[in-house]
Amino acid sequence: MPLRLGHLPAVDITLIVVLVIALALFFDFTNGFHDTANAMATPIATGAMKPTVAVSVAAVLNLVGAFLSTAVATSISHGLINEGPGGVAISPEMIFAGLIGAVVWNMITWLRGLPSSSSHALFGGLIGAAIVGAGFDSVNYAALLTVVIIPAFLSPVIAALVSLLATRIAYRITRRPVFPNERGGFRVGQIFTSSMVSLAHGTNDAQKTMGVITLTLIASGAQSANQGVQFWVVVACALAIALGTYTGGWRIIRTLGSGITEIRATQGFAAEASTAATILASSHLGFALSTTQVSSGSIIGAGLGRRGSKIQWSTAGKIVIAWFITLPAAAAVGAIASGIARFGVVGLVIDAVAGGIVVLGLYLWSLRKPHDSAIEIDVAANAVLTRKEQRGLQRKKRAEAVAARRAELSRERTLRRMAGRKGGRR
Amino acid sequence: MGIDWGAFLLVALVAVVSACFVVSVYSVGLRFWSAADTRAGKYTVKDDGTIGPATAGFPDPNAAAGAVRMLRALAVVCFVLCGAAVLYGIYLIVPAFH
Repeated sequence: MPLRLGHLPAVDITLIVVLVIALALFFDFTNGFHDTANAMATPIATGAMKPTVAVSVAAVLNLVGAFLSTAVATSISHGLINEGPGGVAISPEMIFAGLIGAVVWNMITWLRGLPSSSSHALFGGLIGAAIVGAGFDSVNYAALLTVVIIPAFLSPVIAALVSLLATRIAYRITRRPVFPNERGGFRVGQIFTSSMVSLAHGTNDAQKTMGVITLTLIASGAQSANQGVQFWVVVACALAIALGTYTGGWRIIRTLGSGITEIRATQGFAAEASTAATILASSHLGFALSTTQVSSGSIIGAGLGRRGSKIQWSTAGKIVIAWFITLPAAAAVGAIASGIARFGVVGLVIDAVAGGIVVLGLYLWSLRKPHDSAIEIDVAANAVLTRKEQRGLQRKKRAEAVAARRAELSRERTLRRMAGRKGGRR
Repeated sequence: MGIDWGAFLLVALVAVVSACFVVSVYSVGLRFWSAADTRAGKYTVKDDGTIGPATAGFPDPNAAAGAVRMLRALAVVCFVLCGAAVLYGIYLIVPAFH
């Protein structure tokens, strides 16, 4: 293997493998922590579920979802990295560097309030690390394009279109004023659709970590490349994501206290149905997509499905920028970390310490300066203006114009009065 | 590069068909449910199509119980159909069932 730590004995290799697995599981935990809101913010906001119940259900379904399939994990661990003559060309050290890149970038976007995707950060970090660590040939670009990049850009668009259509259908079928109140029933339906989103999240996101751990095991020689994902890996990832989901609940509850954008139960139902359908279909075919971006796309689609709504590009732009930038940015951080890791054990220690310091520092900084923790769903919902909000904006603009005109008039009047006075200015 | 565009198309199609199916069947179910409510006298529908408060007690003893029960049954059939579609989707995904 080209970039092994030279003469180091096998014990150190095992240590680094353990480190990588721990870091990967931590990443899985933060992923669950971060994404509970995507599935559960709308049902809590519309009052379909009590917060504690919603969070517990989300945790359990993430756990269950993680056991359902291993297609995504296999496509990450067995497809993305090219195999050289001596097995896979990348080492656990590079995966470690890639994970550090992903974690650091996630922390930065979280602080900046950007609705970024932890999945894109993960892939970006790994790709950057692999390219710097093992050269351009180490990555299977065709597989990368098929499994990660194209789904990353297509899936939110597909989800938005599906959700737009579903919202239109739902509103059309339950059209007022002939029958009263039936849209309240969508609130009950939301209990099920949001549960499906949690399940879908478990199937797709937990598997990414499984894929990374399996890749590490293959790279370190602990597992042959022909074997699939091992059962203990599935269990560990499922537990990590469920635990993260459960502890992430406080975040939603706190944000709801400060008020989340109004999403009608009908829109929430349609959006969640589309999110779940898109993610589950993709998981089944082994596409690793970003659940965050799919949820955001669905919410935007559902917002547009309501009559008279319109996209607010200043907020939607934020989503799109975060969407485009995350992969290359995390790749850059991963590449730097991987470059440092080339110095052997010292480099690894520098990586770990630097990563730890950055994460801890950013965390402490966030405590000092409270910020609104960006819930992606909320950002996405803000990106669509309802008719009422548009009218409000117009009214505000008109009022401002009138005020400006009034100020101008009064200034003119004063000037005229002053000019009319005898003796000019006193 | 062998990019399988068919797979993406498949995902899009499956997502459209399944999401729209579930949403529309559920909506139809809700519509049946509220039709049953109206029949049972929970609301009165005026001539211009707007909704007024119930005139008789709810459930209205004079309402045709058979029609109400029929509508409720249809609504439940719709909800069950939704649930079945979702469960079938999960069944297709889990390799352990095949």
